[in-house]
Amino acid sequence: MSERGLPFAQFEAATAARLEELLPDFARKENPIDLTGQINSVANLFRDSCLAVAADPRTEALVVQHASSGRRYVQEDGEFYKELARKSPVIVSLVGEVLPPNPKGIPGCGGSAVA
Amino acid sequence: MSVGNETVFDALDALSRIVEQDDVRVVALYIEGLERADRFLRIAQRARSRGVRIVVLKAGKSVLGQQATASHTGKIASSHAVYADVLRQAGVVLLNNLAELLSAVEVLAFMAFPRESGDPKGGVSMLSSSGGPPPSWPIT
Repeated sequence: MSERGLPFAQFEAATAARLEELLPDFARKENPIDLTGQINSVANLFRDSCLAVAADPRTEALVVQHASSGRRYVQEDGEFYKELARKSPVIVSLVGEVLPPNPKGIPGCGGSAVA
Repeated sequence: MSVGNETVFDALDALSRIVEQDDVRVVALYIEGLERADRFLRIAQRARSRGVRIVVLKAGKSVLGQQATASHTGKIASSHAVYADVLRQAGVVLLNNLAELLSAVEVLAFMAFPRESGDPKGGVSMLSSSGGPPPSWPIT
């Protein structure tokens, strides 16, 4: 629970087991999850982790935070996020970068976008 | 659609019908003022019950904007804060400019409502590519 009253999901055992499979030992696998810099070297790590968490019945909404590599990944994954958002809200936060005006398929053109 | 000066048919007349359509998921309103807040709240409640989202861009946020509005439709724009509070209570999203309005429409046209897990252990799930921000989010 955040100080502002936002409840955080506590993952079910199946989700926790899936995250153990997907993520390196040194990653934080509880909510909020730290995927670590391995996203740069392990293909689909971000997508597979999102799918695992979204499939957890305790997940009521998803927040994905991209760090300095955000722009590249969000533009690649825009349609993926849109599909996820058809089932539950997905909020994508970008840190340290500004998207160019009207990037294809990505709503919002400021420092953050909601998919 | 445009309702002009709302002499015989106003924006809420239109809104009350539009939120009943099965093929509508989100309605964008550009308004200069509302005559009947109670009527708007009833329509907003009905829209929520039907899963229709309403987003609003309201003119007259600044003093200059209020003067311009008065000279356009003759509406005396109330304090923006009053509108903001009423709209928030009604579950309506108030935007600041046209770009935000268009983005909101695009997103809400496909984005689902938050799922209700019905589980006391349910809530928001967060993922990050960096270990820095996530621990700080719960307290921000």
